[in-house]
Amino acid sequence: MKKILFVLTALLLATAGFAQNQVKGVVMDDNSEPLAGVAVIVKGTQRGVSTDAEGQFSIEAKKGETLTFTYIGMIEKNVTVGGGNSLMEIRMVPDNYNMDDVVVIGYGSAKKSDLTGSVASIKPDVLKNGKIGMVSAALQGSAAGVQVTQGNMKPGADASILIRGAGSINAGTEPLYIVDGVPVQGGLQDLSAGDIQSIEVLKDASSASIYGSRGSNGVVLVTTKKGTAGKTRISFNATGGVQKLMNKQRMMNAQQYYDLIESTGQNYSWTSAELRLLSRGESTDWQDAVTQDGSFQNYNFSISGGSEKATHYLGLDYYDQQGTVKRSSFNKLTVRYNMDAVLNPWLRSGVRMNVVESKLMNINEESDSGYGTMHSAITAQPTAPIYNDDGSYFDGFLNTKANPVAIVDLLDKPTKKTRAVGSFYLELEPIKNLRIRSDNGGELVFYKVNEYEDGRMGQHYAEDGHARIMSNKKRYWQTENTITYDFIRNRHKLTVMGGFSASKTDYEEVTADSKGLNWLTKYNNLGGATTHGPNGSYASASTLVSFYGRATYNFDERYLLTFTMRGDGSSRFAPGHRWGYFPSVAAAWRISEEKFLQKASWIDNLKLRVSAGMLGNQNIGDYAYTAQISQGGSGLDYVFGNTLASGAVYSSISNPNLTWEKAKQLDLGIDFGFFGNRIAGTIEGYYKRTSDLLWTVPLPKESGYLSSLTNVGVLDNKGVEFTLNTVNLNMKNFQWTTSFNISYNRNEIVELYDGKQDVNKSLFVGHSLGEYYLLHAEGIWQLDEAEKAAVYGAYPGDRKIQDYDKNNVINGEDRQFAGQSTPTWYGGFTNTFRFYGVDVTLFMNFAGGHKINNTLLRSQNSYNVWGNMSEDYYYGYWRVDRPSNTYPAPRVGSAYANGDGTDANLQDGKYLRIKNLEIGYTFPKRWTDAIRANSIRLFFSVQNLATFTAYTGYDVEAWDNTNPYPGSRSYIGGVSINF
Amino acid sequence: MKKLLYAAGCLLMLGATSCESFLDETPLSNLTPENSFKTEEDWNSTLTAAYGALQNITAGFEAKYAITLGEFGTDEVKPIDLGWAAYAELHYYTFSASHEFLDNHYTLCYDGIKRCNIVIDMPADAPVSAQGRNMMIAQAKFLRAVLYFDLVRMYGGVPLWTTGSVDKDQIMKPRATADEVYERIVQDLRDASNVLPTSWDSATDKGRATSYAAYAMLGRVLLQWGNPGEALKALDQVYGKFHLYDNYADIFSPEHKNEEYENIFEVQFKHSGKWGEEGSLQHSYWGPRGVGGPTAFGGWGGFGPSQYLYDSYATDYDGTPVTDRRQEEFFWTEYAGVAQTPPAIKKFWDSKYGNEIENDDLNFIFIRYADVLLMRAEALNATDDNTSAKYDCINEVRRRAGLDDITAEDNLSKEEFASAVLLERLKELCCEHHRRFDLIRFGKLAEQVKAAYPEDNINIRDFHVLYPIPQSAMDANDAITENNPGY
Repeated sequence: MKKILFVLTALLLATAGFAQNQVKGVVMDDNSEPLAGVAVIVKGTQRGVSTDAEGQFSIEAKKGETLTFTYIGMIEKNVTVGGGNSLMEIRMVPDNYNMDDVVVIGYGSAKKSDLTGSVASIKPDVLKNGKIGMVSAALQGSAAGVQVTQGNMKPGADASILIRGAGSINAGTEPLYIVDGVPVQGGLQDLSAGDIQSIEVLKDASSASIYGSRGSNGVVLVTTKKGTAGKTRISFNATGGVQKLMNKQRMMNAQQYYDLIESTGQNYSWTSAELRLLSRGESTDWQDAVTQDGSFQNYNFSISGGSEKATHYLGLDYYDQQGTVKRSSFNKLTVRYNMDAVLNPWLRSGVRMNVVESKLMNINEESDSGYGTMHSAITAQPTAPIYNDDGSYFDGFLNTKANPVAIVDLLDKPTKKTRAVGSFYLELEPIKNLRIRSDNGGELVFYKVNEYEDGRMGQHYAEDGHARIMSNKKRYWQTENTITYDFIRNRHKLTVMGGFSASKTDYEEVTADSKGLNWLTKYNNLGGATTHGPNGSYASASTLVSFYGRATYNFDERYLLTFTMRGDGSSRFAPGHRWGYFPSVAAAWRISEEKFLQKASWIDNLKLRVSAGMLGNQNIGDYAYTAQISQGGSGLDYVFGNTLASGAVYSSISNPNLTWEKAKQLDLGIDFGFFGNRIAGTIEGYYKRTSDLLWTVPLPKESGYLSSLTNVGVLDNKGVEFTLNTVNLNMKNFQWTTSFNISYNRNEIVELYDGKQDVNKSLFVGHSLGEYYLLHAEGIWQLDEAEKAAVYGAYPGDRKIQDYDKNNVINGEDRQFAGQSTPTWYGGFTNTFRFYGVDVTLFMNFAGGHKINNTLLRSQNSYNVWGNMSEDYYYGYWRVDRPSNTYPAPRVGSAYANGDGTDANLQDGKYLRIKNLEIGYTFPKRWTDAIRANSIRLFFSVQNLATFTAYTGYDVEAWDNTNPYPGSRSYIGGVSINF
Repeated sequence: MKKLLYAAGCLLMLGATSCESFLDETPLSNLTPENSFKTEEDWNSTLTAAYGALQNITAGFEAKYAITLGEFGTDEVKPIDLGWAAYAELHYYTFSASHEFLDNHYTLCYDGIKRCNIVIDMPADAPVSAQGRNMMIAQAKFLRAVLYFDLVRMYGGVPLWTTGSVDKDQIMKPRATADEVYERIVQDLRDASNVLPTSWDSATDKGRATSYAAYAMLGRVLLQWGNPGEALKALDQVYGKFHLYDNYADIFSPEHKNEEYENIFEVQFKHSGKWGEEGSLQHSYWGPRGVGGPTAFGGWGGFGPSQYLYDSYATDYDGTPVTDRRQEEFFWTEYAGVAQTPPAIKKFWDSKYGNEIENDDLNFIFIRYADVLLMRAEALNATDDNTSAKYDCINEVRRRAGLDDITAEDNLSKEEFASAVLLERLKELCCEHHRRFDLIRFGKLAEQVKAAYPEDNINIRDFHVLYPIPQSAMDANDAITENNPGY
């Protein structure tokens, strides 16, 4: 601090000496990185200079004159010269719609102005809106048509991305992630945000079809940073904060629980421990007992630089999070190294390498989520003490497997992952404009789950401990080889690219299970166990071979045409049906370049795009076309003469015609930029029709097979997307920018198979995937309706179900549509303010049009003797003297009481969330210069400040409502320094 | 690297066909029709899997569906754990066709039938000896009959699948009538009884179906179908071939597995590494409750029984107070100092492994001689047999319990004798998955449920003698258009 004060004083004294007409200053981008080569012109004169490498300029200007700053990729800025002599600090606002930006597309790159397809470019800057969690989560609300859902709030959980609606029933809806040319499953979770240069989302058929076989759910292209020749740059970021649990569920206390159980005349035998707790007037809050304030820290460090011959980038990132559930944690170390070298004028090579090691601890998510930690804690009876008098864990829960505190204390379950993704390329340019490139790479993933259940966890756990190990390894390799030629003559520009690739994935898995172990060596010495097995192993492999080509033609920068074709052969399909061909065509007209618009100077960019094409999907399990015979296992084995005999049986029927799922897509878009791109955006509409759906068609139960993977049916997704970026204010020391996007998607099943209108009453022609079809709960039968209730075998106080077909029986025929489970609209809204060195970001995201089946309400809002119910239920259930129309009476055997099969537990899913409110301060240039830094920024952020929703569970995005990991609000501070 | 070069090379030839072999991948962890069913052992494995299906409807990990559907909603069992809606709905008769247990049970039955059908449909050129083939098919038919019987007595007429292959064009099969299903079952059991041995010699074959098992099962099926005359003929084949243990515990004890003394057919279980494998759930679901220790030594499933059941031992068929040995032999009124109210069932007791959840060593006693004796008494009575044979049968069971004989001198009418048999069945065979179907056969389900739980206000109606076809099965099969009346 002393130093800073000294520097400050020195600077003030220095500038005071030059009270002349010379205006001096420094020009920076929005991250306070100096900009070199910015044109500075005194408006209305010929006087002009450029900024130097440090972003500094000096120009003669009088007070009252206006300086105009222009720079490619930045919004033009006008600043009036003031009277003072202080150093001007100019921050320019980046132009997100700059037509000269280079955008990464599949197997190449293109100028934004040349794009014909629908590509959303996401700048790494938006990633700051999600500081906790994976990169995938940080993309939420960042681009139209890209729906991001954080379905699980546990530390280290990946968010899911859905591009332009669910286009498949069983073959996955996850987009294809390509990181520096290598397809990486769940690609964003194992990257450090600090290493990312850009993220491009390919949404339409034209842009994605170069990845034809795997592109039908869209493609997310990630490009990581590389070094630039010149000065070595060092950057360091440190972030840390605390997480507070949100939306704790309000449950009954011990006395309320006791009163309710006793009032029903239920023959519940209270244990002496429970009675003692009651007599002391105590109550156990199990949610508090298993949760804590979480914390997290993230350090990111990078060095980059190089010469004209070679550049390098090294990134290190360490992320550590202690969860809000006690003893749950996640940490991750990421190392990235990128190198590019010019070997000689016609040969270049480079390496991309990323290694991640992560460890997730003690997340108890049992396959039966009713046994999970949080569900146990929410429903455990408040009358139960945590410990017995002798200090052992109280055990005697009806709702759950174990004492929730015992689970968090004793479960030892590390999930470790090591993932190495890398590639190297060679690029030849034997003659001008001809490039031959071979990119070869792959990934290795080692994944291991160790689990030790201590016998003290309770009655459901093996007395002497139980250890399980699951270990798998995935190996993927690929070779991608392309040849590109650029042809330019006069107003004609033609680029042709062709290529082929081959890839193979191998997967191996081993599981081991032992009981009766030493409690210190646990899963690290299964050999020391007294009981072994069951053990298991599994392996699979798949291959893909592809040919592809693309031609882009540009006439006079006005008319653009792209033709793409890909052929893929996949081992997952039956011989004779392996090859799929995926063509697409796109055209664009840059209206703003036409002569008749040249006079409209306020129009900077106006482009009309149209594209059509076909994409494919093969994202099914391996070997699905052939009938398979499963061998062994508990369901098939038997015992003869007390000896185990291994059974085997057909587990699936064959489908020799199984082939690609195909998605045809039509896209129409307008890009616009007005008033120096201060108002810029895109309006887009699309129509995607998926046919030959890879679908596990349910078979009649009587066949003994549950389903068969078949190509059937047609599914439509139609939608519109709107993106608007505005620079609202761009004054000398104050800027306000806004970006807004909203998307609407309508998902509809057009055709099933064999003329069916519905399948298993879960898929319906004319409705969306995941549409609820349930009985309608109309409230509660009241006393004066006893007679009517009796028709249905119900009594006053029971849940009233609508007899839709009025035949005096409640059955499947009374079900009705009750809304869909996926949002129809979603988007994001960001406002950024800058005032001198202070920046404020307010980011909100929203979604709606859907209903959430809040399964937690099953036990919270109906009487059950298994465990606790909500306080709301206690004060709101039906009683003769307190008629309620919301919650049924506490009567055992009351039909539909827990709402199963009805719409009683559906809640409106729409929400608006203030996801990030961030205040940052960037130190003035002259201060940072003193320590030879380029910039220093301090910030404070609140994540999940508020969520407005009717949903009552822990987190509105959670997929598992029965055992959700609690959501949290985070208070975060950090510093970032660039040298 | 070699592979990589190879792949690159093959691609360079730019011939898609030359790459075809690169795209050939065959399953690594499962067999396919191309490489399976090549030996007799392969076929035997499928038969083993068909036996495995029996565990699913008797006492295996998945059997709680079959048990609860057969036991709950009767006078002998009131689930202890009424907090689970799925349990309570069965007890109070408020379930609908969407009840998940129905779906699970129905699916498990047909999964087993599929396994049987594959064996029965064995092609002529299968690499199996003639003798081996006959034996396998006979066993598979026995098993198929058991599975269809579970379906027909719960749901009435169900679709009849009798082939091993699946023709996608004829996959929607309508419901057959109950009579058609019974005809199939009876035919299968007759075929099986003609081929199967009376006992399997090899120790490693113990647990396979025998001709006695087929005859006894045939008797059970025919009685339920309402054909006591034919049932009697089948039961006569077993009569006198087995005995009654003096000690009741021997019937169920793991120490007495497969002795073929009283027990005619046992579904095999074996304590295993963890739950969900070959262990049985009987002990942990029926055992005493509220006792300390890691698993409370049972009672976890909260299966019951009812106080009504326990109390019924105090009086004989004619209303006179009696002391029945079975009241003590079959029940815990107290365990480890903890009073059991209502008393817990002692039948399914594994002193060694009962402490592990769903992983005890108890076989499920599918048919035993006491059942055959009582069935025979019932059949004789129903066919107006005027010898002393029916008294001999019922008295053999009663004598072991320490009860007096019933003789012609007691002058019981046909109906009175039938009632005495029904009561004897309750006392002898309680909680062995018979009661619901016995009550239905005697037309007394609703009456007895109301008698056992007068306080519970149970809304049982006549149509409840059949469960609904599960909603999921209705939804998946277009050819099933009507559910059972009342649902």
